[in-house]
Amino acid sequence: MAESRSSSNIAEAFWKQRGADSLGQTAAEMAAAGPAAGADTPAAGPVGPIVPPGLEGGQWKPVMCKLCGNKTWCTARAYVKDGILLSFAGDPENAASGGKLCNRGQAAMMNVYNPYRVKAPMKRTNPNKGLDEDPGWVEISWDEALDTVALKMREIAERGDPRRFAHCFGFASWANIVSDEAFCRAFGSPYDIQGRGHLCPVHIGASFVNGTFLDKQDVEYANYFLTIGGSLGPNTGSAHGMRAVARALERGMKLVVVDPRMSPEAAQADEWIPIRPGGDLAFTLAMLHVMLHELPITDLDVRFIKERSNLPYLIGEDKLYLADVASGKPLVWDSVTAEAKTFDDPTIKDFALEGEYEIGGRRATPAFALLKARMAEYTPEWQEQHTTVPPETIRRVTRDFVAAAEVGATISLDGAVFPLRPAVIKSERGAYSTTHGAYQHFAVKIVAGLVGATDVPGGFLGSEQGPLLSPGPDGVVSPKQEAQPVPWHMPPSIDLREYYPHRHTSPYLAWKTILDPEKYGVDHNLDMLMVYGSNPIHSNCTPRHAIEAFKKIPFMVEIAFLYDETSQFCDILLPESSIFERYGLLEYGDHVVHAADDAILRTRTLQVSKPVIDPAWNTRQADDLYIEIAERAGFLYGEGGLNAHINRTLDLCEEHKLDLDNKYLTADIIDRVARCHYGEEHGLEYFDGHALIPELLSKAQSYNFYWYPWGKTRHPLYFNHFYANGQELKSNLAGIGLEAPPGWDPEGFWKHWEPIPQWVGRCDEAYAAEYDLRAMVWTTPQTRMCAGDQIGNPWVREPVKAFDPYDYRILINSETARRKGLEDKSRVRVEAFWGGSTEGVLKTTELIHPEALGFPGHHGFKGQLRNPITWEGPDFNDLLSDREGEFDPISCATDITPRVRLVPIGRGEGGVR
Amino acid sequence: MRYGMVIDLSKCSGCMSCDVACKRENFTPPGVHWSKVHIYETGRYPDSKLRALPTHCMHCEEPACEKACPTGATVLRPDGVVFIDNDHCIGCGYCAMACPYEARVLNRHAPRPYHEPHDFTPFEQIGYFQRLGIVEHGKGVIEKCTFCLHRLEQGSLPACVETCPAGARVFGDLDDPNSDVAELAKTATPRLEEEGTKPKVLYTRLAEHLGY
Repeated sequence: MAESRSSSNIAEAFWKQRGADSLGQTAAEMAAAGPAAGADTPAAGPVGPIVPPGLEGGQWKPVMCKLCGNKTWCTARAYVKDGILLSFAGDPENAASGGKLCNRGQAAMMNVYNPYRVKAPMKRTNPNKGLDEDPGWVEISWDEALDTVALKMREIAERGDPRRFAHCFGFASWANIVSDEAFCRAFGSPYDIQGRGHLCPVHIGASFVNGTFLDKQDVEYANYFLTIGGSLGPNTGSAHGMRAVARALERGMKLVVVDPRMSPEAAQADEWIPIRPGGDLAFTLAMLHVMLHELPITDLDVRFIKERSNLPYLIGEDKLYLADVASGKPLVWDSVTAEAKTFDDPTIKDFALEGEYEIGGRRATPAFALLKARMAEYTPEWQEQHTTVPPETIRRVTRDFVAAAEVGATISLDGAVFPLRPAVIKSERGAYSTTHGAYQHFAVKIVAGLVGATDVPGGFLGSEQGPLLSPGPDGVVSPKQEAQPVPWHMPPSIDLREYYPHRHTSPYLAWKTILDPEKYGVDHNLDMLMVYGSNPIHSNCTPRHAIEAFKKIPFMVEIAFLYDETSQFCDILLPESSIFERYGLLEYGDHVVHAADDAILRTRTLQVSKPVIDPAWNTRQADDLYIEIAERAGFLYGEGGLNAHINRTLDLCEEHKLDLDNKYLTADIIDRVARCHYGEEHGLEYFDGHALIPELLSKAQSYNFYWYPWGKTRHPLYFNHFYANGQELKSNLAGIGLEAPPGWDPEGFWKHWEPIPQWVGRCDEAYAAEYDLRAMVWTTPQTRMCAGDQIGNPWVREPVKAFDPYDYRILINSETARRKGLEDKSRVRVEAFWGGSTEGVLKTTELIHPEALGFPGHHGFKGQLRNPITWEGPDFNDLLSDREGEFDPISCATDITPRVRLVPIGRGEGGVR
Repeated sequence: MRYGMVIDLSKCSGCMSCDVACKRENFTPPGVHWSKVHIYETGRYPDSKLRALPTHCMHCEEPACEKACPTGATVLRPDGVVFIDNDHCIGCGYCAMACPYEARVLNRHAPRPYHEPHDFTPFEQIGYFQRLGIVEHGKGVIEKCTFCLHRLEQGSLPACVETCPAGARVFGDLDDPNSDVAELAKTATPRLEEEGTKPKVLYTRLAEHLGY
């Protein structure tokens, strides 16, 4: 069925309005041509920055926003008069944000002039470290601060083991030109450890199936959107996502939300399906059961399954591809000629999906048949015990999803014909942050794949656009990003990455290891930890382990924006400038985890920020601090020095490469990046008038099917490489006499490494009688990724405190509270099955599943020198376990739906410290 | 010319960007909210709904505040904006009591710093005390949403409209039959219609959102 469909095509309209005449050019052509012609002209019409009355005479200056952790930052305009920032508005040149700013961005001015910032270099005078200890900060000179840090690094280098230095970083580093990786490698340490991420494991499925860092979903064409434990945009207050979702819903897209709580998106949806926290995988497996066992196969995208996935590949008894003896290529079964052929044999008449075959004495089954057999037990009736979702709901939703995919439909974009599959299933952090999170990511990828809704218009997309579906020798998308396992190496790294080779991040394992390296076979410990743009205490499960570990580390330094929990354990603080006071650079800001429309899919940018005001206090650019430290510690210059690593990580061309023996500052390096990648006319001065250089993809190029159409690649829906990596890990562990990583029961570990997702049970089910609720957490529209001090910004917090009765509270279903003899504003201690606990005030509500206990946002900060408004509310992370057996050994996700019980401790509002 | 606004409640997800944009644009001090988004719920589980209701001065055609004002400080301008002349406001608060929408705030005290006990930030100092604008957050006067009159005068939109990421707010001339706002107003409804003040801020799907 051929179908041509028009869309309002927001990116095209946006750029046409600005006189862009280069639509439809390739990315390379665009890069060569530079920004859209006419981009100098500010937006015509009523939208645009307006000078507040009485403040005329200043200047609007372009700048990045960066008040959240999203890599698709909205650029903005800052109004400055007499050196003071007086207003802030969206960037009329940013098609993806539509010139909008979210609530956090609107409050950016409060962040700059925040009196709780670190205002000068500081030295600790109290040697005792703890959350209750006053560090006794005294101001010191920059020279003293930098020399002290450099000396510590020099001493470590001289002792010959740079592994004793680690660097822990967070979202702040995304605007830097000196990457954490470059700094650590130049020094010789392997430890650039992300302080975030184990609470946000949203990468594994995308990196295997789409070859990308993240997922995104196409709401330009989707007519049906099923979301399980995630956000399209409104839940997290994303300006891009809210715009895209509002457009899609207005167009008539049906939205179905599976979530234990009635979220902002559920409120806008056609249907809310409340589910028990952590039951998402059972829901998804039951969808697969219905697709494979209850619907006729002709309802599925059989062409995609046979020609675009690895499901026809024959799987041997070892659970791996059965390879052709001569060529080594995976075999398939030609059901017409009744013989095994290599997957790319041009004589194949038809691919067998079912049956069992014997090839040269080896028994094999198509992966599709194995998948189908594995899903047999996961009936809609079975899933109900784990989800409380009625079986008929699963059947109806699955049928609706499959029907909405319009299998067989096509669409022509820029002359290229694509499958059109306007049905999206997405899952995210809320569902992936469980012990079975990786399986959930795989499972939703399979659901999408069975109707062909992968990397085509209307479907489930990878987060970046380009030739990312390149196949390996087996014809299947080669593993990229986190699908590539960490190489085996013993003794292991301090964050135990070798035991968990597909982990996103595992900082909490580093903190545990520091406390007991021998237990994990680690032969060294840390002498120094440097922290930047991260808060590894508050952003950690079991924060007390980070606290104990930091007490053991002899020297800690933080490039710090404000006094937080981690800075209380530091010996030196190097104060960092805010985004308004510093340079920033972000290339290809196209990482979006949420719903994307045409404007988001097609617009890629180089974003550059220049200081728009002088530093309000004695702060400096973080990148310049790294360069200073490297120079003073002796690893800036020469081959292998930081300059060389900057050349590598920024991919600087010969003409603009840093001389290895000169010292550069950030401004100069950004100038080189912009000229080198976008042409000489785009030096730093260009960014006096712009915060971005846009790069437009054609509509066709924004779907990765374009780069690898039919016959050119296959998506892995049978996770062969994953299983093989597990087998290699097993063999490596056996080589050192282990059946599983230290602390793990072997059976409990290896059940996570199967090539087909399966239900693995809940680790805490044995505690059900005593711990009768499951806790859960979510990001609110005011606390996206907990970046930019959103909790300490009074402009963000005041409206929430005044008009949102749910935030800062612990949400409990009204009926559940009544049964327990609890009421609204009852004060409770929440105790997790493994021993963690937190305290807070209940909010009874009809908006949450009866077995769930809801924690909105991020609260309960404990740093003494913080803004006191951040202390209020419960700290959910105190409920999260870091024990082996209680996190996902694949992604290293901590389980954010632990079993808990309530202990009443009184009544009343107010904070808990 | 009658300025008016229609808020599409099916698009509003309660992110509060409008509230913060209003603060940023108008330098409203702590405790002063010209723009509010009330978050609440309707219905019983599982047929319950999370609701968000943005509200501010309704710029009524027959403003109760104007009638209550003893000094004539509150006036309905010819362009439809309900405006307070600070020079004539004596801070009696009658208008605030008369307003059915609780849109008015009486400044009993001079502005305080947001980061109390720390001092005013530089832009607070300028925004509260040093600029010569159409609104001053002075002690003893009433204030409320102005529809960002200063922006309208420069041909722009109110800050809350400009910033709404979902495009839930549509603003314009209700007297212009070709305007989007006039078209939407045909099917939109006011809050508290029974008060008879004839608001020019209207809502789509209001009854559903109020749980009727």
